[in-house]
Amino acid sequence: MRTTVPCTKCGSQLPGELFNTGNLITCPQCGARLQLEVFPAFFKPLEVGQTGDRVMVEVESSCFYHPQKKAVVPCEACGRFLCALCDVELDGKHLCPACLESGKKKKTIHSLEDMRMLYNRQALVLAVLPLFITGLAAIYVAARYWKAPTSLVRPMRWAMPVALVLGTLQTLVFVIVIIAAVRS
Amino acid sequence: MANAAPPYRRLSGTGYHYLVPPWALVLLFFVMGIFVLLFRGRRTQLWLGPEHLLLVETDGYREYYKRFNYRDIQAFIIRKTPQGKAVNVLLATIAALLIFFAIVVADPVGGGVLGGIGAFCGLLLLINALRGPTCHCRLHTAVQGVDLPSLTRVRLARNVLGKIRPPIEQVQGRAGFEPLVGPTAARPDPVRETPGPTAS
Repeated sequence: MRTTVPCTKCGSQLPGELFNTGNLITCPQCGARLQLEVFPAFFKPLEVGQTGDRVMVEVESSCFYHPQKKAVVPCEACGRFLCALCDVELDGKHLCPACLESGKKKKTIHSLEDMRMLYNRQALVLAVLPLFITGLAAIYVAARYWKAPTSLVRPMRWAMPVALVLGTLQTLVFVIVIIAAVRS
Repeated sequence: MANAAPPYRRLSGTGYHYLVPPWALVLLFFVMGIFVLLFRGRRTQLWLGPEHLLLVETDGYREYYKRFNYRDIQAFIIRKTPQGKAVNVLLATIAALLIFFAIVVADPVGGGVLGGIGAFCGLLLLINALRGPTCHCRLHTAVQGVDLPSLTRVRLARNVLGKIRPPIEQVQGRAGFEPLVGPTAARPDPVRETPGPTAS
Protein backbone atom coordinates (compact mmCIF):
# COMPACT_ATOMS: atom_id res chain seq x y z
CA MET A 1 0.00 0.00 0.00
CA ARG A 2 1.36 3.44 -0.91
CA THR A 3 1.49 6.15 1.72
CA THR A 4 3.53 8.81 -0.02
CA VAL A 5 3.13 10.85 -3.20
CA PRO A 6 6.11 11.99 -5.30
CA CYS A 7 6.76 15.70 -5.65
CA THR A 8 6.17 16.62 -9.32
CA LYS A 9 9.31 18.78 -9.31
CA CYS A 10 12.03 16.85 -7.45
CA GLY A 11 10.44 13.40 -7.14
CA SER A 12 10.96 13.18 -3.38
CA GLN A 13 8.25 11.31 -1.50
CA LEU A 14 5.79 13.56 0.34
CA PRO A 15 4.28 12.10 3.53
CA GLY A 16 0.61 11.71 4.45
CA GLU A 17 0.63 14.73 6.76
CA LEU A 18 0.74 16.98 3.69
CA PHE A 19 -2.29 15.43 1.95
CA ASN A 20 -5.65 17.19 1.55
CA THR A 21 -4.78 20.36 3.43
CA GLY A 22 -6.77 22.39 0.89
CA ASN A 23 -3.85 24.82 0.61
CA LEU A 24 -0.47 24.98 -1.04
CA ILE A 25 2.19 23.24 1.05
CA THR A 26 5.96 23.40 0.63
CA CYS A 27 8.00 20.39 -0.49
CA PRO A 28 10.61 19.81 2.24
CA GLN A 29 13.24 18.86 -0.37
CA CYS A 30 12.94 21.40 -3.20
CA GLY A 31 10.70 24.09 -1.73
CA ALA A 32 8.08 23.73 -4.50
CA ARG A 33 4.59 24.89 -3.57
CA LEU A 34 2.13 22.02 -4.00
CA GLN A 35 -1.44 21.07 -3.30
CA LEU A 36 -1.91 17.34 -2.83
CA GLU A 37 -5.43 16.01 -3.15
CA VAL A 38 -5.52 12.33 -2.37
CA PHE A 39 -8.62 10.16 -2.78
CA PRO A 40 -9.56 6.96 -0.89
CA ALA A 41 -8.44 4.77 -3.85
CA PHE A 42 -4.88 5.80 -2.98
CA PHE A 43 -4.98 3.80 0.27
CA LYS A 44 -6.71 0.80 -1.28
CA PRO A 45 -4.38 -2.15 -1.93
CA LEU A 46 -4.08 -3.32 -5.53
CA GLU A 47 -6.64 -6.00 -6.38
CA VAL A 48 -5.13 -9.43 -6.96
CA GLY A 49 -6.32 -11.08 -10.18
CA GLN A 50 -8.18 -14.38 -9.96
CA THR A 51 -6.84 -17.54 -11.53
CA GLY A 52 -10.09 -19.55 -11.61
CA ASP A 53 -11.08 -22.74 -9.78
CA ARG A 54 -10.52 -26.19 -11.25
CA VAL A 55 -13.52 -28.29 -12.34
CA MET A 56 -14.15 -30.75 -9.51
CA VAL A 57 -17.28 -32.51 -10.77
CA GLU A 58 -17.73 -33.60 -14.40
CA VAL A 59 -21.23 -32.12 -14.70
CA GLU A 60 -19.92 -28.63 -13.93
CA SER A 61 -19.63 -26.38 -16.97
CA SER A 62 -16.08 -25.47 -17.85
CA CYS A 63 -14.40 -22.44 -19.41
CA PHE A 64 -14.29 -22.32 -23.24
CA TYR A 65 -10.61 -21.35 -23.20
CA HIS A 66 -9.53 -23.44 -20.18
CA PRO A 67 -11.53 -26.71 -20.18
CA GLN A 68 -10.00 -27.75 -16.83
CA LYS A 69 -11.34 -24.62 -15.08
CA LYS A 70 -14.81 -23.93 -13.75
CA ALA A 71 -16.99 -21.48 -15.69
CA VAL A 72 -18.28 -18.60 -13.62
CA VAL A 73 -19.95 -16.32 -16.14
CA PRO A 74 -20.92 -16.30 -19.87
CA CYS A 75 -19.45 -13.69 -22.22
CA GLU A 76 -22.17 -11.11 -22.88
CA ALA A 77 -21.10 -10.70 -26.50
CA CYS A 78 -20.57 -14.28 -27.74
CA GLY A 79 -22.12 -16.39 -24.95
CA ARG A 80 -19.03 -18.54 -24.33
CA PHE A 81 -18.56 -19.76 -20.78
CA LEU A 82 -15.63 -18.11 -19.03
CA CYS A 83 -13.58 -18.91 -15.95
CA ALA A 84 -12.54 -16.19 -13.48
CA LEU A 85 -9.22 -15.80 -15.31
CA CYS A 86 -10.81 -15.14 -18.73
CA ASP A 87 -13.64 -12.95 -17.45
CA VAL A 88 -12.91 -9.30 -18.26
CA GLU A 89 -15.33 -6.82 -16.75
CA LEU A 90 -15.70 -3.63 -18.73
CA ASP A 91 -18.38 -1.00 -18.16
CA GLY A 92 -20.36 -3.51 -16.09
CA LYS A 93 -20.28 -6.14 -18.85
CA HIS A 94 -18.52 -9.50 -18.74
CA LEU A 95 -16.55 -10.13 -21.92
CA CYS A 96 -14.08 -12.72 -23.12
CA PRO A 97 -10.61 -11.65 -24.34
CA ALA A 98 -11.50 -12.45 -27.97
CA CYS A 99 -14.60 -10.21 -27.95
CA LEU A 100 -12.60 -7.51 -26.21
CA GLU A 101 -9.92 -7.69 -28.90
CA SER A 102 -12.42 -7.68 -31.77
CA GLY A 103 -14.38 -4.86 -30.09
CA LYS A 104 -11.24 -2.77 -29.91
CA LYS A 105 -10.28 -3.58 -33.50
CA LYS A 106 -13.75 -2.85 -34.88
CA LYS A 107 -14.12 0.17 -32.57
CA THR A 108 -17.47 -1.07 -31.27
CA ILE A 109 -16.47 -0.59 -27.63
CA HIS A 110 -16.16 3.15 -27.11
CA SER A 111 -14.34 2.88 -23.79
CA LEU A 112 -11.43 1.10 -25.51
CA GLU A 113 -11.11 3.61 -28.32
CA ASP A 114 -7.99 5.73 -27.94
CA MET A 115 -7.91 7.51 -31.31
CA ARG A 116 -10.38 8.72 -33.91
CA MET A 117 -9.84 10.14 -37.36
CA LEU A 118 -12.04 13.21 -37.79
CA TYR A 119 -13.05 12.73 -41.42
CA ASN A 120 -15.75 15.40 -41.24
CA ARG A 121 -13.15 18.05 -40.31
CA GLN A 122 -10.78 16.82 -43.00
CA ALA A 123 -13.56 17.06 -45.60
CA LEU A 124 -14.47 20.56 -44.42
CA VAL A 125 -10.88 21.81 -44.63
CA LEU A 126 -10.51 20.33 -48.11
CA ALA A 127 -13.77 21.94 -49.20
CA VAL A 128 -12.72 25.37 -47.95
CA LEU A 129 -9.25 25.30 -49.57
CA PRO A 130 -9.55 27.14 -52.92
CA LEU A 131 -7.89 24.56 -55.16
CA PHE A 132 -9.59 22.48 -57.85
CA ILE A 133 -8.28 19.15 -56.62
CA THR A 134 -9.32 19.81 -52.99
CA GLY A 135 -12.99 20.22 -54.02
CA LEU A 136 -12.91 16.76 -55.60
CA ALA A 137 -11.02 15.40 -52.59
CA ALA A 138 -13.66 16.87 -50.24
CA ILE A 139 -16.42 15.14 -52.24
CA TYR A 140 -14.49 11.85 -52.11
CA VAL A 141 -13.83 12.06 -48.34
CA ALA A 142 -17.43 13.09 -47.60
CA ALA A 143 -18.87 10.26 -49.70
CA ARG A 144 -16.39 7.61 -48.55
CA TYR A 145 -16.60 8.40 -44.82
CA TRP A 146 -20.17 9.67 -44.61
CA LYS A 147 -21.03 7.18 -41.89
CA ALA A 148 -17.65 7.24 -40.12
CA PRO A 149 -17.85 8.06 -36.39
CA THR A 150 -17.23 11.68 -35.52
CA SER A 151 -15.54 13.25 -32.50
CA LEU A 152 -16.56 11.83 -29.12
CA VAL A 153 -16.88 15.26 -27.58
CA ARG A 154 -17.63 17.62 -30.50
CA PRO A 155 -19.49 15.64 -33.16
CA MET A 156 -19.96 18.54 -35.67
CA ARG A 157 -22.47 16.46 -37.65
CA TRP A 158 -23.14 19.41 -39.94
CA ALA A 159 -19.56 19.39 -41.24
CA MET A 160 -19.96 16.49 -43.69
CA PRO A 161 -23.03 17.86 -45.59
CA VAL A 162 -21.48 21.33 -45.65
CA ALA A 163 -18.21 19.90 -46.99
CA LEU A 164 -20.09 17.99 -49.69
CA VAL A 165 -22.00 21.09 -50.80
CA LEU A 166 -18.92 23.35 -50.75
CA GLY A 167 -16.78 20.74 -52.50
CA THR A 168 -19.41 20.34 -55.24
CA LEU A 169 -19.79 24.10 -55.64
CA GLN A 170 -16.02 24.56 -55.79
CA THR A 171 -15.68 21.85 -58.44
CA LEU A 172 -18.57 23.27 -60.49
CA VAL A 173 -17.09 26.78 -60.40
CA PHE A 174 -13.70 25.49 -61.57
CA VAL A 175 -15.30 23.41 -64.35
CA ILE A 176 -17.27 26.47 -65.54
CA VAL A 177 -14.14 28.66 -65.42
CA ILE A 178 -12.12 26.09 -67.39
CA ILE A 179 -14.89 25.67 -70.03
CA ALA A 180 -15.17 29.46 -70.36
CA ALA A 181 -11.39 29.78 -70.70
CA VAL A 182 -11.25 27.08 -73.39
CA ARG A 183 -14.12 28.64 -75.39
CA SER A 184 -12.61 32.11 -75.28
CA MET B 1 -21.85 -4.88 -28.08
CA ALA B 2 -21.86 -1.39 -29.58
CA ASN B 3 -22.20 1.26 -26.89
CA ALA B 4 -23.81 4.64 -27.40
CA ALA B 5 -21.30 7.47 -27.02
CA PRO B 6 -21.63 8.83 -23.47
CA PRO B 7 -22.36 12.54 -23.01
CA TYR B 8 -19.44 14.65 -21.86
CA ARG B 9 -19.27 18.05 -20.22
CA ARG B 10 -16.27 20.22 -20.95
CA LEU B 11 -14.09 21.40 -18.11
CA SER B 12 -12.46 24.82 -18.37
CA GLY B 13 -8.93 25.17 -19.63
CA THR B 14 -7.08 24.43 -22.85
CA GLY B 15 -3.42 23.60 -23.10
CA TYR B 16 -0.90 22.24 -25.56
CA HIS B 17 1.47 19.32 -25.55
CA TYR B 18 4.30 21.38 -27.01
CA LEU B 19 6.63 19.72 -29.50
CA VAL B 20 9.36 22.22 -28.53
CA PRO B 21 9.68 24.18 -25.25
CA PRO B 22 7.58 27.37 -25.09
CA TRP B 23 10.68 29.60 -24.86
CA ALA B 24 11.92 28.04 -28.12
CA LEU B 25 8.55 28.85 -29.69
CA VAL B 26 9.07 32.52 -28.81
CA LEU B 27 12.50 32.48 -30.49
CA LEU B 28 11.16 30.57 -33.50
CA PHE B 29 8.41 33.18 -33.91
CA PHE B 30 11.05 35.69 -35.04
CA VAL B 31 12.24 33.23 -37.70
CA MET B 32 9.01 31.61 -38.88
CA GLY B 33 6.34 34.12 -37.91
CA ILE B 34 2.83 32.71 -37.64
CA PHE B 35 4.00 29.30 -38.92
CA VAL B 36 5.50 28.71 -35.49
CA LEU B 37 2.02 27.48 -34.55
CA LEU B 38 2.86 24.28 -36.49
CA PHE B 39 5.18 23.39 -33.61
CA ARG B 40 2.59 24.01 -30.94
CA GLY B 41 1.62 20.35 -30.72
CA ARG B 42 -1.67 18.79 -29.77
CA ARG B 43 -4.38 20.79 -28.05
CA THR B 44 -5.60 19.17 -24.86
CA GLN B 45 -8.85 19.53 -22.95
CA LEU B 46 -10.55 17.74 -20.10
CA TRP B 47 -14.11 16.44 -20.35
CA LEU B 48 -16.25 15.18 -17.53
CA GLY B 49 -18.00 11.90 -18.36
CA PRO B 50 -20.55 9.85 -16.43
CA GLU B 51 -17.99 7.26 -15.29
CA HIS B 52 -14.65 8.70 -16.22
CA LEU B 53 -12.62 11.81 -16.81
CA LEU B 54 -11.64 12.11 -20.46
CA LEU B 55 -8.42 13.75 -21.59
CA VAL B 56 -8.76 14.71 -25.26
CA GLU B 57 -5.78 15.65 -27.38
CA THR B 58 -6.40 16.85 -30.90
CA ASP B 59 -4.22 17.89 -33.80
CA GLY B 60 -7.19 19.04 -35.88
CA TYR B 61 -7.65 15.85 -37.88
CA ARG B 62 -7.39 13.20 -35.18
CA GLU B 63 -8.44 12.94 -31.58
CA TYR B 64 -6.57 10.94 -28.96
CA TYR B 65 -8.36 9.84 -25.82
CA LYS B 66 -7.24 8.91 -22.32
CA ARG B 67 -9.87 7.80 -19.84
CA PHE B 68 -9.51 7.90 -16.08
CA ASN B 69 -12.24 6.02 -14.26
CA TYR B 70 -13.37 7.85 -11.15
CA ARG B 71 -12.78 4.74 -9.08
CA ASP B 72 -9.12 4.62 -10.21
CA ILE B 73 -8.10 8.25 -9.60
CA GLN B 74 -5.80 8.27 -6.58
CA ALA B 75 -4.30 11.73 -6.40
CA PHE B 76 -4.44 15.14 -8.04
CA ILE B 77 -1.36 17.30 -7.60
CA ILE B 78 -1.18 21.02 -8.30
CA ARG B 79 2.30 22.58 -8.32
CA LYS B 80 2.64 26.34 -8.48
CA THR B 81 5.18 27.37 -11.13
CA PRO B 82 7.12 30.65 -11.48
CA GLN B 83 6.33 31.13 -15.20
CA GLY B 84 3.44 33.52 -14.57
CA LYS B 85 5.58 35.71 -12.34
CA ALA B 86 8.44 35.69 -14.87
CA VAL B 87 6.07 36.79 -17.64
CA ASN B 88 4.74 39.54 -15.39
CA VAL B 89 8.25 40.84 -14.71
CA LEU B 90 9.13 40.70 -18.43
CA LEU B 91 5.95 42.49 -19.51
CA ALA B 92 6.30 45.09 -16.76
CA THR B 93 9.90 45.82 -17.82
CA ILE B 94 8.99 46.14 -21.51
CA ALA B 95 5.94 48.31 -20.73
CA ALA B 96 7.94 50.57 -18.39
CA LEU B 97 10.79 50.98 -20.90
CA LEU B 98 8.42 51.73 -23.80
CA ILE B 99 6.42 54.25 -21.79
CA PHE B 100 9.64 55.86 -20.58
CA PHE B 101 10.92 56.24 -24.17
CA ALA B 102 7.49 57.48 -25.26
CA ILE B 103 7.74 60.29 -22.73
CA VAL B 104 11.40 61.07 -23.46
CA VAL B 105 11.26 61.00 -27.26
CA ALA B 106 10.65 64.37 -28.92
CA ASP B 107 8.69 63.08 -31.91
CA PRO B 108 4.94 63.02 -31.03
CA VAL B 109 4.15 60.26 -33.60
CA GLY B 110 7.02 58.06 -32.42
CA GLY B 111 6.06 58.77 -28.82
CA GLY B 112 2.46 57.80 -29.56
CA VAL B 113 3.49 54.53 -31.22
CA LEU B 114 5.84 53.62 -28.37
CA GLY B 115 3.23 54.61 -25.80
CA GLY B 116 0.60 52.54 -27.59
CA ILE B 117 2.80 49.43 -27.65
CA GLY B 118 3.72 50.09 -24.00
CA ALA B 119 0.05 50.37 -23.07
CA PHE B 120 -0.68 47.11 -24.94
CA CYS B 121 2.08 45.40 -22.93
CA GLY B 122 0.57 46.90 -19.79
CA LEU B 123 -2.82 45.45 -20.77
CA LEU B 124 -1.25 42.01 -21.30
CA LEU B 125 0.42 42.38 -17.88
CA LEU B 126 -2.92 43.20 -16.29
CA ILE B 127 -4.63 40.19 -17.93
CA ASN B 128 -1.79 37.86 -16.90
CA ALA B 129 -1.82 39.19 -13.33
CA LEU B 130 -5.60 38.83 -13.06
CA ARG B 131 -5.47 35.22 -14.24
CA GLY B 132 -3.37 34.40 -11.18
CA PRO B 133 -0.32 32.20 -10.62
CA THR B 134 0.56 29.46 -13.10
CA CYS B 135 0.74 25.80 -12.21
CA HIS B 136 1.53 22.30 -13.38
CA CYS B 137 -1.05 19.59 -12.71
CA ARG B 138 -0.65 15.85 -12.52
CA LEU B 139 -3.18 13.09 -12.07
CA HIS B 140 -2.19 9.78 -10.46
CA THR B 141 -3.79 6.37 -10.77
CA ALA B 142 -2.43 3.07 -9.48
CA VAL B 143 -0.50 2.47 -12.70
CA GLN B 144 0.36 5.87 -14.13
CA GLY B 145 0.82 9.57 -13.56
CA VAL B 146 -0.39 11.88 -16.33
CA ASP B 147 0.31 15.58 -16.80
CA LEU B 148 -2.71 17.77 -17.48
CA PRO B 149 -1.49 20.58 -19.76
CA SER B 150 -4.94 22.14 -19.96
CA LEU B 151 -4.75 23.28 -16.34
CA THR B 152 -2.24 26.10 -16.39
CA ARG B 153 -3.49 28.33 -13.56
CA VAL B 154 -3.88 27.52 -9.87
CA ARG B 155 -7.37 29.05 -9.71
CA LEU B 156 -8.50 27.10 -12.77
CA ALA B 157 -7.00 23.87 -11.45
CA ARG B 158 -8.82 24.28 -8.12
CA ASN B 159 -12.03 25.03 -9.96
CA VAL B 160 -11.65 21.85 -12.05
CA LEU B 161 -10.71 19.87 -8.93
CA GLY B 162 -13.94 21.10 -7.35
CA LYS B 163 -15.86 19.73 -10.34
CA ILE B 164 -14.20 16.31 -10.48
CA ARG B 165 -14.24 15.77 -6.71
CA PRO B 166 -18.03 15.03 -6.41
CA PRO B 167 -18.11 12.16 -8.96
CA ILE B 168 -14.89 10.70 -7.50
CA GLU B 169 -16.30 10.87 -3.98
CA GLN B 170 -19.57 9.39 -5.18
CA VAL B 171 -17.66 6.31 -6.34
CA GLN B 172 -14.86 6.11 -3.77
CA GLY B 173 -16.39 7.74 -0.71
CA ARG B 174 -15.48 11.01 0.93
CA ALA B 175 -11.88 11.69 1.89
CA GLY B 176 -12.56 14.89 3.85
CA PHE B 177 -10.50 18.04 3.96
CA GLU B 178 -8.60 17.20 7.14
CA PRO B 179 -5.00 16.10 6.47
CA LEU B 180 -5.09 12.42 5.59
CA VAL B 181 -2.51 10.38 7.39
CA GLY B 182 -1.65 7.04 5.81
CA PRO B 183 -1.60 3.89 7.89
CA THR B 184 2.19 3.80 8.18
CA ALA B 185 2.48 7.52 8.80
CA ALA B 186 0.01 7.20 11.69
CA ARG B 187 1.88 4.31 13.17
CA PRO B 188 4.46 5.34 15.79
CA ASP B 189 8.06 4.97 14.77
CA PRO B 190 9.25 1.70 16.35
CA VAL B 191 12.84 2.93 16.59
CA ARG B 192 11.82 6.00 18.58
CA GLU B 193 9.45 3.96 20.74
CA THR B 194 12.17 1.60 21.84
CA PRO B 195 13.43 2.76 25.24
CA GLY B 196 17.11 3.56 25.26
CA PRO B 197 19.61 2.24 27.79
CA THR B 198 18.95 3.78 31.19
CA ALA B 199 21.79 5.52 32.87
CA SER B 200 22.32 4.02 36.25
